[in-house]
Amino acid sequence: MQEQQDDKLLIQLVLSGQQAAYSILVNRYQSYVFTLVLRYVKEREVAEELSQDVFVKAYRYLCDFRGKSKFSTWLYTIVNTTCLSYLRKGENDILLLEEDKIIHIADRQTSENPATKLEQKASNAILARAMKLLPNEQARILDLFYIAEQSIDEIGLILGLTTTNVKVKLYRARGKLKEILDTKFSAEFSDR
Amino acid sequence: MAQEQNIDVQIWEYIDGSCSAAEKQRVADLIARDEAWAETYRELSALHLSLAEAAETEQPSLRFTKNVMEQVERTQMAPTIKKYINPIVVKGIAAVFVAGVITAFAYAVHTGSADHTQVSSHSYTMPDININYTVLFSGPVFNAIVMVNIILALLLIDKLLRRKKSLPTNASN
Repeated sequence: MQEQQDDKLLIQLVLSGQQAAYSILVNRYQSYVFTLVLRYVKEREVAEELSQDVFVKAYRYLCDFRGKSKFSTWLYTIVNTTCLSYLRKGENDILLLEEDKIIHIADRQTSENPATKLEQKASNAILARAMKLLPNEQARILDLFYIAEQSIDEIGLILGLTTTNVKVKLYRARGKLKEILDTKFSAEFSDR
Repeated sequence: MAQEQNIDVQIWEYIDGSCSAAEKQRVADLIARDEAWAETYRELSALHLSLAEAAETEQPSLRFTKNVMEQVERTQMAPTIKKYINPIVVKGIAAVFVAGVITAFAYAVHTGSADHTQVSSHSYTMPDININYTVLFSGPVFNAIVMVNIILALLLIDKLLRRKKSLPTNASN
């Protein structure tokens, strides 16, 4: 809630002419946007260009952000439309988050217990491998829910789906992930 | 199988907090007293926690914000839609259109004729109303309205097909 109010304040500053305030918004959401874009495109360089494009578009049309939803929800809608437009050109394949990237990021997590850290790294690696086997749409829904921390209603706004539809897709994504973990990674995952 | 799916659905809604307070209490009671529910809850909440813990973000390059701000400096903010689409104008055009349709229909009814059948104490038959349809369905104005509607319908179909096409296909496992 506090962050939402901060976002609105920053948007007002940007609209009043203080362009530098926009850099705070960019810093705040760059990693979320970049991670979501990586779900759509293969190359990190392309993902970075698209992510920059998303923020530039968001700035250009900032006047039309009415504040009825969270800024992040509106931003992720732009992510979805920008990436789908890019993919429609048929220039790229979709690649899910790579395992070594997950492990690299997991390395940055602080943990007092090295064993816990190692276990968590292993668990993250297994989940990453399982997520790779999910259909793209299902992986995207899980990203929006767990990484971008969007509510079901907000995911519906972003993807242009009804709340019921999002619930069904989220349920199916989780079910599919569980099935993959149970069938392909049961020994590794159950040891946690 | 259907019952298991039903339990899964209810427990996920309980975990997500997307059910009503009464439903939440009901599921909590079932988890507390039914072993099948408790076992399913343990499995699903473990998966939920794993996903939440593993939900790490990727970091773009260190120059990302700087690159964005350089582009933003060269970008002009678009004026808000309110400034170039006046809702009063849109409503006015709609009002003119509706008034035109009502006027045309009223004129057609007025220029038609109605034969009133004699009402007897024993039977009643509906009056035979003849509406002059040629007034309604002829002329350049009507043709223009039909053309506009056809174009709007085509635009709508195009939008629906584009949306359908833009839905990403599922990756094969």
